[in-house]
Formats: sequence, structure tokens, C-alpha cells
Amino acid sequence: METLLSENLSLLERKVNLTPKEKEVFAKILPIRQYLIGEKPAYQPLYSTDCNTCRQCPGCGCMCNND
Amino acid sequence: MTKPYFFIQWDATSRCNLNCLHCYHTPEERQTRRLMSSEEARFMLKDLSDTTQRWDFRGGIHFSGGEPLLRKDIFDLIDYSRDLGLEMRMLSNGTLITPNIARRLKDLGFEIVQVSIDGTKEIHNYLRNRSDAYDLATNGIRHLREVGIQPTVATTLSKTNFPEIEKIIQDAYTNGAVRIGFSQLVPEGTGKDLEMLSAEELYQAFFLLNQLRTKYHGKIEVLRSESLWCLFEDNQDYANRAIAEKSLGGGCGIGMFGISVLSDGIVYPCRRLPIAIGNIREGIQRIFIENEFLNRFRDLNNYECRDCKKVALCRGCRAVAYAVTGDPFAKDPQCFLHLMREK
Repeated sequence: METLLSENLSLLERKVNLTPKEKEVFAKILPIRQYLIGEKPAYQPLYSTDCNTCRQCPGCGCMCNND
Repeated sequence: MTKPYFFIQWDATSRCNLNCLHCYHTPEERQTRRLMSSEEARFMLKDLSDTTQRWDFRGGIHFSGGEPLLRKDIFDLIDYSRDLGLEMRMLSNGTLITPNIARRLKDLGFEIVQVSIDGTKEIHNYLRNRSDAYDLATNGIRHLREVGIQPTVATTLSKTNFPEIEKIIQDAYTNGAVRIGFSQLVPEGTGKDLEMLSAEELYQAFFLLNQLRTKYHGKIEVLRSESLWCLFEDNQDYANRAIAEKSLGGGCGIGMFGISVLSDGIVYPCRRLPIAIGNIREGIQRIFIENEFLNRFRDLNNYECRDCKKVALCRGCRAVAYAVTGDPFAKDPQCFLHLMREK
């Protein structure tokens, strides 16, 4: 776990707008980590695609990635 | 690439003009929970705007309740949120949405408003505890549509409305809704007396909804917004990557994309999971980033379903798990993956 977190964290080291603790948190959330390092999400869950148009599901976990 | 979205779902007030059988508030709570002052609310909204800008995320405020339109300064706070650049949503029971209110919401920048409808007229009025609740809510939906706001219908699934699913969709479409989502009942608050669906029934319901999505395509969008919907998706490669990297890939949004703030400022991980993790006065940074309890939700090893191949994308509903077992990391008792394997 620690090694992987370190690998994930190292990807965010150049994000100067984030505190170390924020980097630690966002390193554990794959879609956010992908965004922060400029990696195009390889997969958009279908339910998230739905929520791209809805954005009305509090706590549903959607990324609401499209405007 | 579009920015990630971080939201606060805020009970603008815990007061309500209805007394629904499945509310996550108790009647006492609706009457006694303190109301954040306008200044406190503005502090929260500014913090949300500042924090999400620094993160380079989109910030969103979801006005909920109680019935948010009962809060006296609600339009001032909406105006302030708009000025801060926050995306805005409203979760309403619809009964107070007159043509004037709908126009005002539109003028203030709302594009989507969620209205709760929990069945056909008879069932909805029974669950909402008021004989004209359905007519008022559906009028509200029509008023929203007339001014160009997209109404989304939200329906809480229980044994009471389970047999009416298609009729609820038909009626929502007829009344002007553009999309509809069905959520799991969380047996808490007054809702603890209602019967939630079994795993078998929820699987039946989702299976039917999956078919109705196709049938009603082009008329009304049937959403797939609960975590357990991921079990219907072809997503294993992505799930495997997320698991390998010890990351959350999607599913339950606790600890990922937002927090829920009650009318008095108490913060829950999710509106449906009644475990206090702080007060919004402490600031989003302290609560969302530094709270150790919230951080436990970001470690897949903490979940009873940690060995499931879908865990990184799902984790079911933590609120249902907590309401039924008392353990927020227990398996969602409505998970139906084992039933899909049997098919």
C-alpha cells in the first residue's frame, strides 16, 4: 500500500496549488489523479455519463465530467 | 479535459411543509435543528468557492433541506453563489414552485432542479402525508419546464412503490420531466419504518429500469446513479487498474467528490449517512482533507466487500449498510452481484 501510494503521490509532486495532505487524498482517487496529471480518463462509467447531464444525485460518486 | 466537480449538499433549512414517511429527518429534528445564519452560510459558500478554485475543480452547491424554498434568505444566498461562480442545483419537493418562483430560479441561473416524486398520485400522497402533494409537485415540474429549467424527478424505491416503476416514469414524462433517477431507500429517520427492497427486488428493479431506459430513450432519460449500477457495466479493466493502484475509481462518492452540511453546520460524509465528522465552520480543508474518519473511506481494505472485483467502482451504498448493520463499512445488504452470477 505504501509503495503504491508513494508512486501515485509522486505523480502529483509538481502540483504547487495543493498541500501535501491534499495530494495524499487526491492520489487515492483515480479519476481526480488522472485529471491532475493530465491523463485522459481511460474509462467513463456509464452512470457517470448519466450524471454528466443530471448532476442531481448527491453523493452518487459521479465525476460529472462534461459540461 | 473538464475539471472534477466538488459539491456541498446543504440543508438550507431542516423545516419542511411536508411530513414524508421516508424522510431522513425525524419530525423533532425538523423543528429543532438550528439554522445557520446568513453570515455563516456566506462563509461556507466563499470557502467552497475559494477551495475549489485553488484545487482547480468546479465547485457546486446543492440547495436541499427540508424544503430549501422555505428559507427566507434563500434567493440572496443563491445570488451570492452565482456571483462566486458556483454551479447550483436545487433539491425540492416541488410544492412551492409557482410560476414566479420558477422564473426567479431561471433568472438566477438554475438549469436543472430536482423534484421528488415517489409514486403515482395515490402512493405519492400517501408517502408525502398530504392529499395535494402530487398535484402541487407536478405543477411545480410544469412551471420549471415552462421557463426552460430542466426538471429531474427523484424517486426513492421502497416496497410501497416498487410495483409502479414504469407508471412513475410515464407520469414523469407526461408532466414534463426530462430525466428520472431512482435511489435506494435508507431506513433511517422516519424512513426506518418503511420497508426497503431486498437484494432480489432491487436487482429486479434495476433490471427493469435498464430495459425501460431503452424503451423511453428520446422521451425521458432514466438515470443510473446509484453505485450498484456499476454491476451492469463492462468496466473490469478499469476496476482492475483502480484496485491495483489502491485507488477509488468511482461508485459511492463518500470521501471523493463532496460533503453534506446540515442546516446547523454539522457535516456528514453523505446526507444519507448520519455520522457527524465536524462543523463547516472548521472549513472544507480541515473536514474533507484532514478528517481521519473520512479518510478511512478512501482505503479499499477497510470495506467488508474489499475482495469483490468491483470494489473500486462500487462499494454499494454506505448509508444503507450503516442503517441496517450499524457499520458504515459493512457490505451493502442490497448488493445483488451474487444474483447476477447465478443467472
